[in-house]
Amino acid sequence: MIEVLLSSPMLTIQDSGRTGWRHLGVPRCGMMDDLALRQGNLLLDNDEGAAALEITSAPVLLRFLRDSAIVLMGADMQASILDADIANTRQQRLLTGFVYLLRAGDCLRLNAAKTPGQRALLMVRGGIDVPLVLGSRSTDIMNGFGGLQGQALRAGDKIPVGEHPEKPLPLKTGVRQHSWNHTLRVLTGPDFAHFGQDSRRALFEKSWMVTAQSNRMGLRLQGDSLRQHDPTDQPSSRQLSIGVLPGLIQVPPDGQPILLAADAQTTGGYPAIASIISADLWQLAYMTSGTRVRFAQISLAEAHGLARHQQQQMLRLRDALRLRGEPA
Amino acid sequence: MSIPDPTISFVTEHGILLEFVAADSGTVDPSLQRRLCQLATLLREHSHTGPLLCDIVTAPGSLLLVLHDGRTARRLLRHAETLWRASAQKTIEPRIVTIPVVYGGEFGPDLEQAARVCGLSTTAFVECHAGGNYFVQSLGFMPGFAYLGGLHPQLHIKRKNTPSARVPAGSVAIGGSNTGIYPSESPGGWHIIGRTSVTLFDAQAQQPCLLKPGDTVRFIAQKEKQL
Repeated sequence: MIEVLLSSPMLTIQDSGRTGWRHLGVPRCGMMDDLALRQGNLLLDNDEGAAALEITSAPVLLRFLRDSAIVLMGADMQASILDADIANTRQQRLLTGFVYLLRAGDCLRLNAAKTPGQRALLMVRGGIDVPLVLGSRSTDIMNGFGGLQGQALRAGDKIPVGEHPEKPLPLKTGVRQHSWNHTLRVLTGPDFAHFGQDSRRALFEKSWMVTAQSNRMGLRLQGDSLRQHDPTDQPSSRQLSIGVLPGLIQVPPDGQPILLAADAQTTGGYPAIASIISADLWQLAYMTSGTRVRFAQISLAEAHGLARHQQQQMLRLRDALRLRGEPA
Repeated sequence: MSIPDPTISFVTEHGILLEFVAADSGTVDPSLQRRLCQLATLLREHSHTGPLLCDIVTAPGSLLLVLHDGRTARRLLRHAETLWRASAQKTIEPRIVTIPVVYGGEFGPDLEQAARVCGLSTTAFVECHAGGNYFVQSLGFMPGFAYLGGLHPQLHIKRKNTPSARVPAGSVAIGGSNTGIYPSESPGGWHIIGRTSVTLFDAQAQQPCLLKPGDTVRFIAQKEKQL
């Protein structure tokens, strides 16, 4: 059990997301940086997609009610471990990507993110053990289910943690948090050709600023106005909604693109100009108001290759950790 | 009716969009939509295609196939084509779901205005709406929200310019050429003509959603003016 002593906006329980229910209108949700979730879980000998905490802002203070092992990933939030009466600091400036051990009663404080809005992840050995809803523990904030009562965590909440086998964990080996560069590789979408030449060029040549109207459903960008060919020329606009996915870049009539993120609706009617490749989707977790984003076009074959490469890297990490875990 | 071959495009590297009507067309033939819903079910349940698929989303005139690995697209599409051709011969009888509705009054605040716009009395409006045979074209917007096709052309009403901030759960509404029911409270831009006490979505239930793509829906006007 972990007790929330001090909470902050959008502190939520997320796992690798909810799939198989999109035809009923159920969004994916799940950790925005799914890559870091899986790395951290592997280090803790958890299931890759086990539920953990997504921390959007600080300060946050948590008390661990029994001996625990944790891994922090994502943005550095100047974490420290305090003893039970929160008077003495046992360990300062925890590093991301390493296992730390806490004694029952110890507290974890996350102080502040260098760039507010960039997310941190807290994985705990055994995983967060809230009930599965439609196959996932992820909190669906918009629709009010999953996680703990379908809501963001508040002070006083007690978060159940799963059981785990007693096995030594690698304390000297870490995993590397992928570093974000805010350049997203994209594929052109089904409506790309309907956009004017200037707009098609602008998408790749200009930078796009993330606005404050961004959240886990979508990131709204600001920049050149993306216009379809000739507004009077048919076919120029999409009249019927289509199924949409996280990663899709939609362009509403105001010409300012929206990047669909983890909590995105399942259908949408705006033209789909491009999509972010799955290997780069994790970067959305670190794009906040004011971030300048660039898009780079790649081919479908390259996108498939990169997805496969990322999957293989994860398998290699799992094998490497498994070997290390065995007694000498 | 002949159905054209779909336009196939990748919306994301793992998501294939099959479009059976031109993107600029505003209407979809109900019999085409029924076959799309049927194809989605066949693909989900078939032993060769089910394991390749993470999700299938039915939308008006299109299907989105979400693969675990986009590289299996060719294989999946080959099977889809076979299933599509085979489905031409057999039609699955749609499931009929009956939904009791209290029309107008406090439960349907927009009924009078909607009837006026359509040039009908509220009684005629309700008779027309409750007399229809609707079918679930797709679900979206929120879990369990069904876009119902088959609305009488006389009842088509443009969405509100300014959406209502709070539409209660169970509200029966009209937006453009569709009618639908809000499964839970939310903001909404459709015209609210009545309310049902039926539960449309429950994430905790074994079958979370009352309506599925392809179902037939009938509304029954309740005489007593309470839920």
